[in-house]
Amino acid sequence: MNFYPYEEDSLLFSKKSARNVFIVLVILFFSVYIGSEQFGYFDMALYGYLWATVLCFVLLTIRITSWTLRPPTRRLWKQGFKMMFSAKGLTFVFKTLYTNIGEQRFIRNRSVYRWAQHMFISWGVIFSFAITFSLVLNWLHFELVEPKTYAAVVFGIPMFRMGVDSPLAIAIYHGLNWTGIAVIIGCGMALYRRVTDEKKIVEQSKEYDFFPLFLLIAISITGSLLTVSALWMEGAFYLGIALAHQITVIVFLLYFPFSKFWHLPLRFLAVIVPMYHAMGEQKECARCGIEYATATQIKDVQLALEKRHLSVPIDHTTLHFSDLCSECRRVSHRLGAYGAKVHFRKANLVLESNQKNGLQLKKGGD
Amino acid sequence: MAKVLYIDYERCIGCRACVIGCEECSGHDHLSRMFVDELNPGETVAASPTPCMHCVTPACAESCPVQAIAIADDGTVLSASLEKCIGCKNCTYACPFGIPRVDDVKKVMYKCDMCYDRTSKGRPPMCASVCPTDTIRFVDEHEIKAEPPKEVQFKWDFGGTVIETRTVIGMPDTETNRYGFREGDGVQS
Amino acid sequence: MGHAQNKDYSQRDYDAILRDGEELISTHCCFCGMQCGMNIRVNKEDKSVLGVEPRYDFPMNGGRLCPKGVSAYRQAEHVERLKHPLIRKNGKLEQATWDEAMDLIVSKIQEIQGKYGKDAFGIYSGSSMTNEKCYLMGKFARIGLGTKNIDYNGRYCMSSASVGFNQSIGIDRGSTNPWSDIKFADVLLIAGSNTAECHPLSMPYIWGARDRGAKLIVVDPRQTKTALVADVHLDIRPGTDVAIANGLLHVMIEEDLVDHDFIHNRTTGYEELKELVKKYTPAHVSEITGVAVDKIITAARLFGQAKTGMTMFARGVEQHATGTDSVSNYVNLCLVTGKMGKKGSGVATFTGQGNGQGGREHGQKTDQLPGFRKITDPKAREYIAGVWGVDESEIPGPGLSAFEMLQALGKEIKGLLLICSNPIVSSPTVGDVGEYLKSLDFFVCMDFFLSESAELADVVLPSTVWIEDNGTMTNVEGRVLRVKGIDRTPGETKRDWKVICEIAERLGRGQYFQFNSPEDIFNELRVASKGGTADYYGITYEKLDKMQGVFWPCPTEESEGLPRLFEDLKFNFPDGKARILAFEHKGPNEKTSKEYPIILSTGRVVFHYLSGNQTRRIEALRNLCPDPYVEIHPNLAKKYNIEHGEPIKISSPRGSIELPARVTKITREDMVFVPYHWGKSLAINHLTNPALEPKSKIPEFKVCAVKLEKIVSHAGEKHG
Repeated sequence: MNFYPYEEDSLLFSKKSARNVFIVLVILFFSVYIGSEQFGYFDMALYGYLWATVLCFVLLTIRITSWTLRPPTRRLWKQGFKMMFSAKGLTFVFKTLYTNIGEQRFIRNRSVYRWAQHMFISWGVIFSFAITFSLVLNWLHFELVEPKTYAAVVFGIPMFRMGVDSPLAIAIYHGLNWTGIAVIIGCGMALYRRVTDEKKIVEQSKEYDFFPLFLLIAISITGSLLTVSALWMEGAFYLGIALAHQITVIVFLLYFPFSKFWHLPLRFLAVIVPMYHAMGEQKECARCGIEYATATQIKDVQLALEKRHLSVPIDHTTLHFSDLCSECRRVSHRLGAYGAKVHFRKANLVLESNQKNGLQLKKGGD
Repeated sequence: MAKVLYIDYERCIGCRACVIGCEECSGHDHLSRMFVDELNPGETVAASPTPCMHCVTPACAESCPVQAIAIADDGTVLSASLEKCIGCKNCTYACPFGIPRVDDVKKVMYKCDMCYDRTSKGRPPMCASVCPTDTIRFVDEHEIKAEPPKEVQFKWDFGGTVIETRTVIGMPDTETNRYGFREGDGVQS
Repeated sequence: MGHAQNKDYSQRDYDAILRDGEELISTHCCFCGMQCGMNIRVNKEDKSVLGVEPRYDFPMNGGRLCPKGVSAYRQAEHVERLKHPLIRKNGKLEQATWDEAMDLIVSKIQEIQGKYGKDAFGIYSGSSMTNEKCYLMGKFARIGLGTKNIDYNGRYCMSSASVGFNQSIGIDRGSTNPWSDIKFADVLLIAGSNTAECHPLSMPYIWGARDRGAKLIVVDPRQTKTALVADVHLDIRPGTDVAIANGLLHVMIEEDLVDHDFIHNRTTGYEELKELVKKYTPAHVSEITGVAVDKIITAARLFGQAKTGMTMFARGVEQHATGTDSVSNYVNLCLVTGKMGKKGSGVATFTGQGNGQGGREHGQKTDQLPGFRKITDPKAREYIAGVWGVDESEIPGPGLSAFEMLQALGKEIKGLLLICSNPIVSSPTVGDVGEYLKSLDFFVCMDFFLSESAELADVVLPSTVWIEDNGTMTNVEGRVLRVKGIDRTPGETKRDWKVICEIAERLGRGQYFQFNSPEDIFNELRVASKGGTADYYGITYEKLDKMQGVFWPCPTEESEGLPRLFEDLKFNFPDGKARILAFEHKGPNEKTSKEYPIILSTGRVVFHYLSGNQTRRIEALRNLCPDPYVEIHPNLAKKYNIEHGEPIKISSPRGSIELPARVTKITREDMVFVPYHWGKSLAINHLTNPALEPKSKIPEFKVCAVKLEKIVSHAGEKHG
């Protein structure tokens, strides 16, 4: 294993985390302050959820801080933000946002079944998050402005009104039910696949793959049961179900930054990638001359490896192995090993083995 | 008793049975992770297979912005996890041996995992199972590194960066001029 | 582990993985004479074919497979498989029922035979099918149809080796030794065999010998992968095998590297040989063959000085107008140095077809009856007539050999049954072969894909693929093996032996074809081969399973076969002495000329099998090698101003073809090489020479004279 620390300053992570957590907490406080109209509207039933949410945000902030401190991650984010400042970059980002996160086309290309399953789960979960956070943090609440009319209030600003029994109102009240149902369908599909394809999915583990599915199902079922209890069972078991729901949701919120769900923030970095690949100048392989990457990315990778003390240079040249395409890297090793001269035609260099299994400029040069 | 791949590429006939065999592994989703490259096209028919070298300090994992490349308990470097991989291709450039590949359509990196479903059951990976010439063998790690049958490579020094690999490469016997016609000062490429 | 005969083979100590809901069918590859063992993964419920799993415990290959072997199973569920009979209606092949097809076939056979005589209906058979089927085809021709005209595609393949072995050592078993003996040879001389590509699974044995320090001599005009790692590569001009062997014999005799005891006690004809090779000095041989003098001398010394050694060869030696001479002359190398009948000493030919060995033993060859009996031998006829329960006079005599039969289509032969072959790709002058086939009154073909030949047929019958039937095959060593199949016949496909029995029934000859299983046929074959050279009498399915295959001859029920021949140094002649035969170098039938100055040689690539009807349809293989090409040396390419990848026109007196150039130093400068696995406009056999070897009737595929032309593109002309 590579035991080199990520940063020379061992306190950097703590310092940055503390700073970021502070910023996030301040923002949260003010958003709640405004949303609840100076703490005027508070749904005490959501009090437990509120603290769990705040804690979730803190943990997530620390996790993201640690993640972005990694040299390749930091580099990619920076490149992304830089490129977004051009019109072309911005168009790219919006396009990718739609195909990657909206439509999730790359998953459809892997398998249609898994795409359907993932669309149910991801959109179910994202909308649930949106509704839960906005209600819990009081970003959104409903006020009864007339006996039969509600007003939706966002950050203290009334947005629109609707009849208490209007279809829109029913759709909105039951928002979490609809997302819950979507999540249950998606998770069911995922479980079915995991069981039937068990022998094909070689690297699945119970904690990593099954627990999150069960957790999502538990949240969705307890949540839906609340509605069932209220609507059709005259509130029977309501308190017990509510408690169960609250516990599962809190577990989920605290588990989120350290679990499989962590990939959700990662996907936002993926949005940068197509732009990153398309907008740089193409680079030619030093040996065969084919275009195989962008010059920016090769530089970025070399910097990232250097920070980790894993540079792989070619001795007595300015080149690194990453200046070759993959095939030329494989071939050059083999040629060097049996004593052949390795011609880097594009770079106009002749190399040989450095007698330590790496390559070097041929002595005496020609 | 850990077993690793040993590549004696002098024996390779370039038939690519390993490449097709790799597709047959249950966990591989019919995507081959093996490479066979011609070493001197137009000069000789010499070729070599390359599976993942399974570095002890894998540059692919270090270069991954989303930490998608995990290392199994036995030291096998696994393919990027499906849900994390963002298809950025950093790993394909960082790897000094040219191993990881990214499927641009499915946005997923895939590489040799030594046929996890076979090795976990004590069977050789598909490439070592099918290789018709014994170019690719599945051998005891300690034995091949401590008492190799011929000169081998598993410690690579790149300008002072030393990378040890679990996969071991056997070097061709060129002393007796067995490997191709080496007129003058060697085959050029 | 396993039977003692398999001790030195390359099996490995692992079990195959059996997955839930699957079963493994342990069988053998359908390609090539190595007959590697493999497990086919089958869905237990619906019997669909899922994949391949290594069969580590099989001695010959120990689970190892070449790219063809790994992907062979992909034929089973292939979309292009024929699933129902086809009948030509208004010029087009259209779906039909089995009844319609069989009625038509039987009425046509009766009509043609009634009008033109029994021999007017021929059978062109193949050698990639089981012993049972090969035997059945011979029997069906002789007493089902009553025709003398049956021959098979092995004629293009193994026949020179067969004749050569018979004239030198009196027996034609592909290898006198078990394959494991290769590991124990101190020197290996491999001639005209691209072993690495055509028989990849022999390589572990060759490496086994190399690991022991054995020397490797390779005779090949191309620097194949086998030649690349050889100690001496004798890069001969195509068609000069007799000369190079004479040169090696010359040096060994001059330097007294021969075994006088062995020659005196175990052979005849040495003095004539000694006399003849006197003039084949290294310098003279170098002139004929183009091989450097010192390489000839080094090779002769390496071979002569070694204690044990094997000479192995393949089509590169055999597919010549002097093929049988070359074979016998290479056998001479072992005879004069006493390298016979010992562990690590013997001769072998690399069998190309799946059942190339078994297919030539049991009577589908036109001049032969089961058990390697001659059809002209009255005793043999008497015996086989007894086994079949017919009168001796009912068995016809010898008919036409394969290529002669094709030439007679539309003339003496009006109707043809084609099974397990694709002659319109694999024969020389394929353009003419198409015309021959079209001139038939009636042409029925049996296959599981619509091959180029089947496209011309009047009726096409859909047969099963190899893993859907049971039977036995005989591999390169003479080891008889069990091929096991899945119990299924997809769509309306039928097993070909059943169809043949049904046709016999409809022809009123059903009483001779009462077989309910391949094992029934095999049991009759055992009796039919009893007392012949290839004696299978003692072999049973049970014994084959128990011993992982049995080597013939196995004459009694107690016998466990004979892996190594001639351990008593008694060769298969009345006096027990091997025949040393002497040959002058004559060269190829077609010599290069001013008009056609370049030699064309053809051969295989590792990704394809024979006419490519199977392997070209497997996507993985097709992607690796989609199209043919011309291998040409850079110096020759420069002469014609041809760049790598540019198309070249190659023409022989018989036809021409345009293919892209692959510029490479692995071929000689006076030749070009083209692989032959493609049909129609990509078939190199438009150019090859149909000259037949006088004894074996093998066409001279390996040499013909051609000219090259750069193709000037019109776009280029415009630019000036």
